[in-house]
Amino acid sequence: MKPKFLLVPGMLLLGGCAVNPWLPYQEAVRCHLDDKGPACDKFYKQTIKADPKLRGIHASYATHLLLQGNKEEAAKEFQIEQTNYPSESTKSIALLLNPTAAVAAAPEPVKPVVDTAAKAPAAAAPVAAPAAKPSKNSKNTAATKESNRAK
Amino acid sequence: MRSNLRILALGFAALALVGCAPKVYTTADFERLKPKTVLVLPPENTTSNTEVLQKSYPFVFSELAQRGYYAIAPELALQLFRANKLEDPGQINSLPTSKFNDVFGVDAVLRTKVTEWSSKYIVISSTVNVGFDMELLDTKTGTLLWRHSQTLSKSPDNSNGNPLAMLINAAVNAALTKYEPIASENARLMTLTIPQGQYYVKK
Repeated sequence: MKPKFLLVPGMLLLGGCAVNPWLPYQEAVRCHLDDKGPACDKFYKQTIKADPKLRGIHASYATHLLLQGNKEEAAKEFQIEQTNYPSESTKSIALLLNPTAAVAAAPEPVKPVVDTAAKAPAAAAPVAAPAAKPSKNSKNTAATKESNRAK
Repeated sequence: MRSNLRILALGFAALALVGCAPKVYTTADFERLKPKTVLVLPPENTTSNTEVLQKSYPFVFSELAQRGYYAIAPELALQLFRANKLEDPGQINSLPTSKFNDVFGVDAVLRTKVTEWSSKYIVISSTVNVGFDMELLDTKTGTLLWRHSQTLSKSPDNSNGNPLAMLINAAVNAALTKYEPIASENARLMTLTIPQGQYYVKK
């Protein structure tokens, strides 16, 4: 067998070992929400290493760094996110970096809102059958209950 | 004859694969408005469990983003809400959708309610239930683009023939309940019914 024929299975094997960058990203967000501070840095770095252009990761890491007082690194990360996704990220990043503008654009005092547009289709949606009971013998039996789905 | 069998086998395999994939739900409004950027709001807890936000938000956010949307970073979103003295997910969820367009510049918001986060232990079996109610709304018009409610229940396998072992297994499983894998799976199955966004990458 010629060596070049080994390339395809080799690439498939390597592809199979590739880390899904969303997994360390989930860990990073969870760690941040648990207020674990610098201990979360490793998850952000793992994500960036797995996919340096993953949507939102640099904005996430930048906010995390900013909250720890690391303004310089945060500014660099925000810059990378804005370079990668200029139209999607610029507005929210600008607001975060300029709190005065954020307050100016703040929502009005909260009143109970009845969003009729959202409620109408839900009320018309059919109600599905109740969840099936998990079978006693099956391993990790899954039962799902679905209702109120937009058509 | 042999090639016919091959075609038949391929046909069955294709049918089996299609049968496993959750059905994608779309509407004329969704096709017309085609959101690109989404703000995943912090999930609103309607259960008695107090750790639901920390445990469910990362999954809901990442599963939606993996459908091919640019989802605003949760850390950034939460910080902006805090800056505006908005800490309660219920309060955030009740804001008019247009405010999210004004502040974040996003095309759509995903509102999530955690409807179930519980484990049931009945003598020799235990079941973990995680339920979400999700809706995707256009921020400019408030139009409902997609909605789905689902509760996922999973029972660990306790059956090994020995009643005493089954009893102990069920008690141990109930005590060491891990909700995260079930929350993640439920969020994944639910978001698979959202049409793919422009950044979707086939795995």
